Amino acid sequence: MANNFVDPKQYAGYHSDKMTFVQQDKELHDTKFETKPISYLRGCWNRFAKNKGSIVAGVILLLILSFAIIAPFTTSRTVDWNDPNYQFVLPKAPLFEGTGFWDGTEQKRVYETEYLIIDNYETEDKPIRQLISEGQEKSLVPGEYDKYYVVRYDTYAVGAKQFSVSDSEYQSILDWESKHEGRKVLLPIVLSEPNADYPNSPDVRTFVEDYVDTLIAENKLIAASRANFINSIKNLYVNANRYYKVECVLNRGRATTTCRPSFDENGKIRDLYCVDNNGDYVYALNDTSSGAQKTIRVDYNVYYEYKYGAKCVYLFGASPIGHDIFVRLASGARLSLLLGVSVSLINLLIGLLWGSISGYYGGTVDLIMERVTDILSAIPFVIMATLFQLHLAPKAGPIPSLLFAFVVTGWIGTAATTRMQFYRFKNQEYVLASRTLGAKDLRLIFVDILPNAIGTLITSSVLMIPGVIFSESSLSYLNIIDLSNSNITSVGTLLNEGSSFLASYPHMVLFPAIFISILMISFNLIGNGLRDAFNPTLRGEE
Amino acid sequence: MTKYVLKRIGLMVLTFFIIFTICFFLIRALPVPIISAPGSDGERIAAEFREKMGYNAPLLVQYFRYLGQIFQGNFGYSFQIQWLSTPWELMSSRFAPTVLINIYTMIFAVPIGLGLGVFMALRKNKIEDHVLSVLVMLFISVPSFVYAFLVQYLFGTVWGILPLKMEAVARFDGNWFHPEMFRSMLPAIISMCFGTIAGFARYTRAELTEVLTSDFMLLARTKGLTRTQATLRHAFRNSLVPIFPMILGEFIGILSGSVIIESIFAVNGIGGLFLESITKRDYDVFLFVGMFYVLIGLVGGLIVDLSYGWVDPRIRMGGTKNGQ
Repeated sequence: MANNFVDPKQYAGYHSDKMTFVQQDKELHDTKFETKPISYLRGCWNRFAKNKGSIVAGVILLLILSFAIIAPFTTSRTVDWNDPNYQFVLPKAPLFEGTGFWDGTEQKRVYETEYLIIDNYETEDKPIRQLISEGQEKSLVPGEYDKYYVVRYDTYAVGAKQFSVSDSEYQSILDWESKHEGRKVLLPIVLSEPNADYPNSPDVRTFVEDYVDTLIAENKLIAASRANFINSIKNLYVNANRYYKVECVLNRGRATTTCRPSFDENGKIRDLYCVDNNGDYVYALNDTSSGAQKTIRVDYNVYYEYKYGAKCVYLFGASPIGHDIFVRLASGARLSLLLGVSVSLINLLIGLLWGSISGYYGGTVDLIMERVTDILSAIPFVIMATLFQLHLAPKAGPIPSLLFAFVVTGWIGTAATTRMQFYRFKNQEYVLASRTLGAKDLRLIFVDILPNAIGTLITSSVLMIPGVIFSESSLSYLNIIDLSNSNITSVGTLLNEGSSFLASYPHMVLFPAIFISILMISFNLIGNGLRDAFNPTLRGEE
Repeated sequence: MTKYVLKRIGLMVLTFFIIFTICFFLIRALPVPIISAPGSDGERIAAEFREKMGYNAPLLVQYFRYLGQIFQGNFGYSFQIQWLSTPWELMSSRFAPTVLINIYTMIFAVPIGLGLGVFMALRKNKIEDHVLSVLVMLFISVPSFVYAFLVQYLFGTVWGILPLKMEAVARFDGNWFHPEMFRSMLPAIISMCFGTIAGFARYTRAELTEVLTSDFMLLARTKGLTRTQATLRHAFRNSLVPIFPMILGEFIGILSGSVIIESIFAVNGIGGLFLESITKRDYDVFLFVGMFYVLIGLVGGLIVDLSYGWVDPRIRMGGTKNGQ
């Protein structure tokens, strides 16, 4: 091939007589290294730091760690804290308020009756944030149409609630109201029965009975169903948000009668508020059963603000009974990380000792120790964990027994690695030399041979952590680890709680699932990075 | 070779026996929940039955009695799941769903995983390889139950194209191979595929890249084989030596199934039975299924080890240093 030959033209300008040797009169010496010597660990660290994936994973892991540590301090809520009034509320971050994303609202289609009901909440926060569209669809009754509305629905607008408080708390609510101009915690009471103290006040029972009687008089209802009908309408008023006279839409071929708010000729809602003899609204009712109690009806969102000092926010949403998933996930994260790290450390220690002894001494000792590990490693982990839960959990609690279960078999891998390293190095010349110089067994084991295995051991210990976290969350998902009686949660428990509501409330599963996925990915990335750093020849292979 | 196999089997039996003994004592030492036979006066009947069957005898007596029973094919009774049915009956009725779901998973996952692995190895250090490697890493790391929830939510709830849970086989007159039955198994199969595919892809890529750089590949190319021929005939076959036992191991593992996937998709399989025996404290069933798991693990390990020698004749089983 022609282009491999030297082209004479290329060197046309050079003359050999003009050239001199670089070191014509000097002696050649080895020069001293300008750079500092790098230790083994330092070199590993340098290689590790070049691995972008591992560094990113490390940063994410630090974030997760700080989430687990800091989260409990950002809120006064504990793992057990719950507010059943906020069941299933969607995740809400104050930052995204009003954007329609992560602000506790959802797009929802409601029929006219429900629309009228939620549109007439008397509370500060209305459930309907925004009316997106409205339309009609064919009704079950031929030839009729049902009107529906598509709205942005605020799940946090839980409306009014009615309950009893002590006199002193009632007083402090009044104080709060006077301090905060224009804010109303208390709403007028709606009487369910006629009350002797307020003879001029309307009440639910009287209204319903009168209403049903008029319906019967107008032949819209047969007299036989009077009692049933009264009961079913009265049951509607269990919901404290019904403060108005209802009107029922009848004879539309529905199994259930739909009842909606009614309005007078001026378009004003016909309320059932309790009034005293002066015509003023009544805000608290003395409980007849116990004198020191008062029944009140409150705008629950404002009441929450009065009670906790801030608006109610569930960053990761709420469970069926109003647990804060954010707090519970942080607790689960702490458990996962703590368990993962401590199991891996304990296993490293045990495995190191076991493998050293077994590998260094060899012979009969090794044979016996190997049989023990053979037997232990043949027991499936799930059986081991179950037996430990059944035996130990009632005495020592579920988490310590889980830790034991992990420790009983977890060290076998580490021990095998260590043992193999000893077999590789114990007959090498440098060990022989050390022995000849009078080194004792302990020195040979821990100073001469063991440091060879340090890279592999650290890598396998880090890679053990995601395995432990996965097993722990699986077992608590399956309820084999029963955490219901302790104030600890696990990611697995959260997933289990959420799995039954996956279709309607996916947020309950979403956050724990994202969390555990990120955690596992980060640990695996770091583990891979460590392996590449400690053993550069393995880079790019698995 | 025969001597080696016999030695391994002997060791296996011994290991199994020791584990069985440990588990037996640990399980029988557990407090027994209230057991009630069906019908009126059930609790008294159950107590009497257990007394007669020797469940209240000292542990050591129970142990030897149980050993005697095993040789007559009696593995005890279920008291909670199904009154007085034997663990064997319970388990054999639950084999089909577990095995089917796992076999389907293998049928899908193995070819795709191997294919991806080969593709990645051939494109090593190119952009496709980097992208796929990252994906494989992610898919291996994410726990299987996360896929299960994702599949259930997306396919089941949002798109509504697959059922949320597995159907009962009774709906199709006990026909496990009814197309609808297969459709209802799909969510579980898909969820299990992700991790398995990623695992096989990673392993295949690692093995194949190593083989592709070996000297005999250079020779194969030098003697005039095309790249495809050399890869398929020489590299891939050689890389299968460690991959085949892995596939075999997975196939044996299918018998034990995945407890968590079965629980999420309501698969009435072995994993479900195991879980039920724990939650209902049905100890004889728990012992039986647990020992089944142990046995699967031991036999699987043995077969995988022996298959190395079968796949690659150069590997001699039980050979000593002197080659005898």
